[in-house]
Amino acid sequence: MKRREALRTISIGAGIAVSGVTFSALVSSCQNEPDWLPDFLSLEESQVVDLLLESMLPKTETPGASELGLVRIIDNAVNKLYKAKDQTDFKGGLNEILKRFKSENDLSETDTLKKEHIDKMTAKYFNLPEIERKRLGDLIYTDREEVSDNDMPEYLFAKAMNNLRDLGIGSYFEHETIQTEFLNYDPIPTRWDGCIPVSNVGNTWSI
Amino acid sequence: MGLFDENSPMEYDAIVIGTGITGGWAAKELTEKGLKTLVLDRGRNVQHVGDYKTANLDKWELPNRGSFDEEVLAKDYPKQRRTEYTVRPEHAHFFVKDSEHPYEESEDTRFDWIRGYQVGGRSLVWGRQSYRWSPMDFEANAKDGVGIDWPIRYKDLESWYGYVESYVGISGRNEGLKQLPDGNFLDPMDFTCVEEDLKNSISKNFNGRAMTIGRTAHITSNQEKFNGRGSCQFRNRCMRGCPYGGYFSSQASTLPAAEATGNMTLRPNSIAYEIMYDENKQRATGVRVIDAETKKTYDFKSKIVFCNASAVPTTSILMQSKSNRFPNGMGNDSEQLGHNIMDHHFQVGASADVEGFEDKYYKGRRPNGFYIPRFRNLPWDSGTKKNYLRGFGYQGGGFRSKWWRGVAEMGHGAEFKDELFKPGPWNIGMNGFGEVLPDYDNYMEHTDKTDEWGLPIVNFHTKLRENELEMRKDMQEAAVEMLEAAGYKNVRGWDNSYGIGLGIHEMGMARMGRDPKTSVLNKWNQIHSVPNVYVTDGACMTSSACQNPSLTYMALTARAADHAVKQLKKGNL
Repeated sequence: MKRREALRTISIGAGIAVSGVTFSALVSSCQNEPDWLPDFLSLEESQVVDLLLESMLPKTETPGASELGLVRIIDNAVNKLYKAKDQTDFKGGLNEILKRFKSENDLSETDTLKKEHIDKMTAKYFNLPEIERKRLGDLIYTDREEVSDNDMPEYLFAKAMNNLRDLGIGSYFEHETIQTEFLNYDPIPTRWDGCIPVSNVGNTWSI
Repeated sequence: MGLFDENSPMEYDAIVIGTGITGGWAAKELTEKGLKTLVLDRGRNVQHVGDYKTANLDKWELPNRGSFDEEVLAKDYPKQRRTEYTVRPEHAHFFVKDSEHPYEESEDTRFDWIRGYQVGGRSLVWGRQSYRWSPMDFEANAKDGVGIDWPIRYKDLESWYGYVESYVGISGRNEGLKQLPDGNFLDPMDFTCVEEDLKNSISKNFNGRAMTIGRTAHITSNQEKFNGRGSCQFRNRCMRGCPYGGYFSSQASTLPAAEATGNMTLRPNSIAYEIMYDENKQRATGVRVIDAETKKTYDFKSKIVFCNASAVPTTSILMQSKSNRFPNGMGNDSEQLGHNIMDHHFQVGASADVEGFEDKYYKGRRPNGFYIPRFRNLPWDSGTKKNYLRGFGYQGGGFRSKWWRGVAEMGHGAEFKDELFKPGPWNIGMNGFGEVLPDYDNYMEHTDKTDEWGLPIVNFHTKLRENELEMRKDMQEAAVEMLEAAGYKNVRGWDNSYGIGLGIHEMGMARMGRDPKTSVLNKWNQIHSVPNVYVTDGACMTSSACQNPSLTYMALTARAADHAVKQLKKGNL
């Protein structure tokens, strides 16, 4: 309980410290006490990540990213598995994402970040004109040392968006709920049939 | 198992060093023929079933959900990770850490030494593909003037292939091919619809060129004949250890057989480092062992010794077995010990997308692929001659992609997500496995450095030579050609990075031969000059052919064990 309170206190300031943007909307969107606190991300960042993931993988007839708690899996993965410099870049990328929310939507510090703002950004990013997509693709595979100061914000932004999407898709489709309840879960097939009608199976095999 | 304890004797009829695919066979054959046998392994004991801790775990149950930890990989697995697959969290515990078992590579060379130090060795994690060699493979060196002639021919091994196949249990289809002899097979596994299509296309467009289902050491029929082992459940989680015993491993098959005789004493954590030699009798007298845990040393005596530690460690043990008679290592009169390292070079082939089978799918996870046997440089068909020697086979598969295709796309949102629940497009690919020629300049040596147990660290000097590099071009082109002829889309050839050893078929450093001046072992796998020492792991190989080697190692081991027991009874050893 102490840790939670401490983090809650810190989080109000941390949003500022980490993102570099005084963006109280994020903090105010979380008035209820959270039932989970991130290890690596700040509370604000975790909220943005959660919203972004839900925008990329929204609830339909199948669960969305939020209800599966993918942000928790990703917080853990980045915390435990990323190299230190990749962690720093990931944070830097989230900072760029926050900045863009603000500038692209002309939001002030007292405005509330809404789902439509997030959807607008993901829609824009994933539907870039071919030439722009290629440019960004080339940029994020550039050696980090060779990225110019000018390009760095975009580099961090695009890399974080891609990482979030890749981590999101991976942790979504490898989630126990999706694997066992929505895909075809067959841990012990007992037999191999090489060529059968797809209608006998339906959704793809989990494993 | 009959584990070694303080009441166990120090003297045996036979000692087997190693419990992998050949050590298990040596243990079974020698004990079944009545020899009291001490079986050593340098690693920990691994109990069948009980120690397959990850066998039933799903992704979300594995540490870090089955993802790699970069820091751990960099620290413990800088070389083992070259395969990419062996270091996965679900089975990394069956492979060594480089940080505990270091080795070196000469400048500008690379050797990928992928090891599994535990009872059962790499028989727990092997690829299970099991092919006989053909007459041309044993004749090739003599015909081409490469290396030295094999001292045996296919007919010397033919009955032993049949013997081990029947016991191992190999699923496959007889095709009547000269370059890939038939065997005693259990029911073959099916092709997928797309693989069937490729097979028909290859046969039609390439003058009857063959494609068959992989011959793999899985029980698919007649399960009752396999001493309590279960049938393959098509889980394809083999490398974690199979709780059903569905595939052949020492644990599932040969070690229990040896145990059942009452003649086996198994001693895990026992690093053999020297074979003792009696200059008067001109025979080995036993094996020196250092206990991996306590670091105490022991001398075990025996009438015969079987070296089955796997190719590099066996060679290393012989190199360390120095005496007045053998100042450069036991049996090394020829100066060939440690040289002629071979493997199968691969990671070159082609892939494509296949349309027209969207209404088809499959059930189960087949632990096997298709196989295209060698079709180049066949001695009976001058039309197959190429600008390099020998040849290659392909292993491949044709399946539907899953959700991970979404990672490669720039999609997002509801429609994108829901689409990924459906089976994706079909892809097909094939990876060539090519013969590596024996070359004296591909060698291993001891450095002055020592490991945690005070034993010399090995340095490797290996690289692909002209013949392999020429072959690789053809391996890619021929794969592209077959996929294009089948009308598949987006055909892409590839040649990924490969270093000798990556095939995990390292072999050849104590080769068999007719002449003691140019080889280490004779036609019965005995050291020419120390006939009570047999080497029947990969170290014994005189050439590499292009087929996966384990079946040949097993057949050679069973044959050598039969010879050893007969010679022992005659008083010749």
